[in-house]
Amino acid sequence: MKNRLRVLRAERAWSQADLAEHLGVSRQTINAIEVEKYDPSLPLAFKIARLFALPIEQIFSDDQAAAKAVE
Amino acid sequence: MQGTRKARSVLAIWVGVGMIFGAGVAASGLEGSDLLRFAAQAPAVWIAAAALLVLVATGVGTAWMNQIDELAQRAHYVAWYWGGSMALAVLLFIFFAGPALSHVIDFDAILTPLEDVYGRGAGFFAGVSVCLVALTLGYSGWWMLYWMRKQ
Repeated sequence: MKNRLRVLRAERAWSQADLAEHLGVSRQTINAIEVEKYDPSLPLAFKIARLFALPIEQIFSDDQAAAKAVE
Repeated sequence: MQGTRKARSVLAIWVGVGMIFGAGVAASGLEGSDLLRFAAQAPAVWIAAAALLVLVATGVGTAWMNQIDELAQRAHYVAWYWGGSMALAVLLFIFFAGPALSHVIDFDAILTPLEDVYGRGAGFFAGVSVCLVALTLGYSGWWMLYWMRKQ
Protein backbone atom coordinates (compact mmCIF):
# COMPACT_ATOMS: atom_id res chain seq x y z
CA MET A 1 0.00 0.00 0.00
CA LYS A 2 1.32 3.41 -0.96
CA ASN A 3 1.23 6.38 1.40
CA ARG A 4 2.22 10.04 1.75
CA LEU A 5 3.33 9.82 5.34
CA ARG A 6 6.90 10.92 4.71
CA VAL A 7 5.71 14.00 2.78
CA LEU A 8 3.13 14.96 5.38
CA ARG A 9 5.69 14.54 8.14
CA ALA A 10 8.25 16.62 6.26
CA GLU A 11 5.70 19.44 5.78
CA ARG A 12 5.50 19.72 9.54
CA ALA A 13 9.25 19.29 10.02
CA TRP A 14 8.64 16.33 12.27
CA SER A 15 11.17 13.55 12.73
CA GLN A 16 10.03 9.94 12.67
CA ALA A 17 10.41 9.96 16.43
CA ASP A 18 8.13 13.03 16.71
CA LEU A 19 5.43 11.36 14.63
CA ALA A 20 5.83 8.13 16.59
CA GLU A 21 5.34 10.11 19.81
CA HIS A 22 2.15 11.72 18.46
CA LEU A 23 0.74 8.34 17.42
CA GLY A 24 1.89 6.30 20.42
CA VAL A 25 3.90 3.82 18.36
CA SER A 26 7.60 3.12 17.91
CA ARG A 27 9.88 4.94 15.46
CA GLN A 28 10.49 1.59 13.77
CA THR A 29 6.78 1.31 13.01
CA ILE A 30 6.73 4.77 11.41
CA ASN A 31 9.77 3.87 9.31
CA ALA A 32 8.23 0.55 8.22
CA ILE A 33 5.02 2.34 7.13
CA GLU A 34 6.95 5.06 5.27
CA VAL A 35 9.06 2.58 3.31
CA GLU A 36 5.87 0.61 2.59
CA LYS A 37 7.02 -2.54 4.31
CA TYR A 38 4.13 -2.50 6.75
CA ASP A 39 0.47 -1.60 6.31
CA PRO A 40 -0.96 -0.06 9.48
CA SER A 41 -4.10 -1.39 11.11
CA LEU A 42 -7.34 0.50 10.48
CA PRO A 43 -7.31 2.07 13.97
CA LEU A 44 -3.77 3.36 13.39
CA ALA A 45 -4.66 4.55 9.88
CA PHE A 46 -7.61 6.52 11.31
CA LYS A 47 -5.35 7.94 14.01
CA ILE A 48 -2.89 9.10 11.34
CA ALA A 49 -5.73 10.62 9.32
CA ARG A 50 -7.04 12.49 12.37
CA LEU A 51 -3.55 13.75 13.24
CA PHE A 52 -3.05 15.23 9.75
CA ALA A 53 -6.73 16.25 9.46
CA LEU A 54 -7.07 14.46 6.14
CA PRO A 55 -9.32 11.68 4.84
CA ILE A 56 -7.60 8.29 4.93
CA GLU A 57 -7.69 7.96 1.13
CA GLN A 58 -5.61 11.13 0.81
CA ILE A 59 -2.86 9.52 2.85
CA PHE A 60 -3.09 5.87 1.83
CA SER A 61 -3.87 4.34 -1.54
CA ASP A 62 -3.72 0.74 -2.65
CA ASP A 63 -1.68 -0.34 -5.66
CA GLN A 64 -4.78 -0.64 -7.86
CA ALA A 65 -5.81 2.94 -7.14
CA ALA A 66 -2.26 4.12 -7.81
CA ALA A 67 -2.20 2.27 -11.14
CA LYS A 68 -5.58 3.76 -12.08
CA ALA A 69 -4.32 7.24 -11.30
CA VAL A 70 -1.37 6.72 -13.65
CA GLU A 71 -3.74 5.67 -16.47
CA MET B 1 5.78 6.43 23.70
CA GLN B 2 4.37 2.93 23.42
CA GLY B 3 1.55 1.30 25.37
CA THR B 4 -0.70 2.79 27.99
CA ARG B 5 0.49 3.88 31.41
CA LYS B 6 -1.61 1.08 32.96
CA ALA B 7 0.01 -1.56 30.69
CA ARG B 8 3.48 -0.30 31.57
CA SER B 9 2.61 -0.35 35.29
CA VAL B 10 1.34 -3.93 35.03
CA LEU B 11 4.53 -4.91 33.19
CA ALA B 12 6.66 -3.25 35.86
CA ILE B 13 4.79 -5.13 38.61
CA TRP B 14 5.25 -8.48 36.86
CA VAL B 15 8.92 -7.82 36.18
CA GLY B 16 9.30 -6.88 39.85
CA VAL B 17 7.64 -10.13 40.94
CA GLY B 18 9.90 -12.03 38.55
CA MET B 19 13.00 -10.33 39.92
CA ILE B 20 11.99 -11.10 43.51
CA PHE B 21 11.39 -14.72 42.52
CA GLY B 22 14.73 -14.89 40.69
CA ALA B 23 16.51 -13.32 43.64
CA GLY B 24 14.93 -15.94 45.92
CA VAL B 25 16.12 -18.79 43.73
CA ALA B 26 19.60 -17.23 43.44
CA ALA B 27 19.79 -16.69 47.20
CA SER B 28 18.84 -20.29 47.92
CA GLY B 29 21.63 -21.35 45.55
CA LEU B 30 24.14 -18.97 47.12
CA GLU B 31 23.55 -20.43 50.54
CA GLY B 32 24.94 -23.65 49.20
CA SER B 33 21.67 -25.52 49.40
CA ASP B 34 21.35 -28.53 47.14
CA LEU B 35 18.32 -27.60 45.06
CA LEU B 36 17.97 -30.98 43.44
CA ARG B 37 17.99 -32.74 46.80
CA PHE B 38 15.45 -30.21 48.02
CA ALA B 39 13.29 -30.98 44.99
CA ALA B 40 13.34 -34.67 45.90
CA GLN B 41 12.56 -34.00 49.57
CA ALA B 42 9.84 -31.42 49.05
CA PRO B 43 8.33 -32.02 45.60
CA ALA B 44 5.16 -30.08 46.39
CA VAL B 45 7.17 -26.93 47.19
CA TRP B 46 9.27 -27.41 44.06
CA ILE B 47 6.18 -27.89 41.87
CA ALA B 48 4.54 -24.82 43.41
CA ALA B 49 7.70 -22.80 42.70
CA ALA B 50 7.76 -24.03 39.09
CA ALA B 51 4.07 -23.10 38.71
CA LEU B 52 4.80 -19.65 40.17
CA LEU B 53 7.69 -19.19 37.75
CA VAL B 54 5.47 -20.05 34.78
CA LEU B 55 2.72 -17.76 36.14
CA VAL B 56 5.18 -14.88 36.46
CA ALA B 57 6.54 -15.54 32.96
CA THR B 58 2.98 -15.57 31.59
CA GLY B 59 2.23 -12.32 33.43
CA VAL B 60 5.36 -10.64 32.07
CA GLY B 61 4.59 -11.92 28.56
CA THR B 62 1.00 -10.69 28.67
CA ALA B 63 1.94 -7.29 30.08
CA TRP B 64 4.74 -7.02 27.52
CA MET B 65 2.41 -7.79 24.60
CA ASN B 66 -0.08 -5.20 25.84
CA GLN B 67 2.46 -2.39 25.95
CA ILE B 68 4.31 -2.90 22.65
CA ASP B 69 2.94 -1.34 19.47
CA GLU B 70 1.17 -3.09 16.60
CA LEU B 71 4.24 -3.79 14.43
CA ALA B 72 6.06 -5.38 17.37
CA GLN B 73 2.93 -7.40 18.18
CA ARG B 74 2.66 -8.51 14.55
CA ALA B 75 6.28 -9.69 14.67
CA HIS B 76 5.44 -11.90 17.65
CA TYR B 77 2.25 -13.26 16.02
CA VAL B 78 4.22 -14.13 12.87
CA ALA B 79 7.03 -15.67 14.92
CA TRP B 80 4.51 -17.66 16.95
CA TYR B 81 2.75 -19.04 13.87
CA TRP B 82 5.58 -19.60 11.38
CA GLY B 83 8.46 -20.18 13.82
CA GLY B 84 6.29 -22.46 15.92
CA SER B 85 5.01 -24.32 12.84
CA MET B 86 8.53 -24.86 11.49
CA ALA B 87 9.64 -26.15 14.89
CA LEU B 88 6.58 -28.41 14.97
CA ALA B 89 7.50 -29.75 11.53
CA VAL B 90 11.00 -30.63 12.79
CA LEU B 91 9.55 -32.26 15.91
CA LEU B 92 7.05 -34.26 13.82
CA PHE B 93 9.93 -35.49 11.67
CA ILE B 94 11.81 -36.59 14.79
CA PHE B 95 8.64 -38.24 16.11
CA PHE B 96 7.96 -40.24 12.96
CA ALA B 97 11.62 -40.98 12.23
CA GLY B 98 12.18 -41.98 15.86
CA PRO B 99 12.52 -45.76 15.38
CA ALA B 100 15.12 -45.26 12.64
CA LEU B 101 16.93 -42.47 14.52
CA SER B 102 17.55 -44.79 17.46
CA HIS B 103 19.88 -46.74 15.15
CA VAL B 104 21.75 -43.58 14.09
CA ILE B 105 21.95 -41.55 17.31
CA ASP B 106 23.56 -42.86 20.48
CA PHE B 107 20.72 -42.09 22.88
CA ASP B 108 22.47 -43.85 25.75
CA ALA B 109 25.26 -41.27 25.65
CA ILE B 110 22.67 -38.51 25.92
CA LEU B 111 20.37 -40.10 28.50
CA THR B 112 22.85 -41.72 30.88
CA PRO B 113 24.14 -38.39 32.34
CA LEU B 114 20.55 -37.13 32.62
CA GLU B 115 19.51 -40.23 34.55
CA ASP B 116 21.71 -39.08 37.44
CA VAL B 117 19.37 -36.13 37.84
CA TYR B 118 16.01 -37.27 36.50
CA GLY B 119 16.16 -41.00 37.11
CA ARG B 120 13.75 -42.97 34.93
CA GLY B 121 12.19 -39.71 33.75
CA ALA B 122 15.37 -38.79 31.82
CA GLY B 123 13.93 -39.67 28.41
CA PHE B 124 10.78 -37.68 29.07
CA PHE B 125 12.68 -34.56 30.19
CA ALA B 126 15.12 -34.90 27.29
CA GLY B 127 12.11 -34.94 24.94
CA VAL B 128 10.58 -31.88 26.60
CA SER B 129 13.96 -30.12 26.37
CA VAL B 130 14.22 -30.87 22.64
CA CYS B 131 10.71 -29.40 22.16
CA LEU B 132 11.67 -26.27 24.12
CA VAL B 133 14.88 -25.77 22.16
CA ALA B 134 13.15 -26.33 18.80
CA LEU B 135 10.30 -23.94 19.62
CA THR B 136 12.64 -21.30 21.03
CA LEU B 137 14.92 -21.46 17.99
CA GLY B 138 11.99 -21.41 15.55
CA TYR B 139 10.28 -18.51 17.31
CA SER B 140 13.44 -16.43 17.78
CA GLY B 141 14.70 -17.06 14.27
CA TRP B 142 11.41 -16.14 12.62
CA TRP B 143 10.99 -13.08 14.85
CA MET B 144 14.46 -11.86 13.90
CA LEU B 145 13.83 -12.44 10.17
CA TYR B 146 10.50 -10.59 10.27
CA TRP B 147 11.91 -7.68 12.28
CA MET B 148 14.92 -7.26 9.98
CA ARG B 149 12.72 -7.39 6.85
CA LYS B 150 10.49 -4.61 8.19
CA GLN B 151 13.34 -2.20 8.95
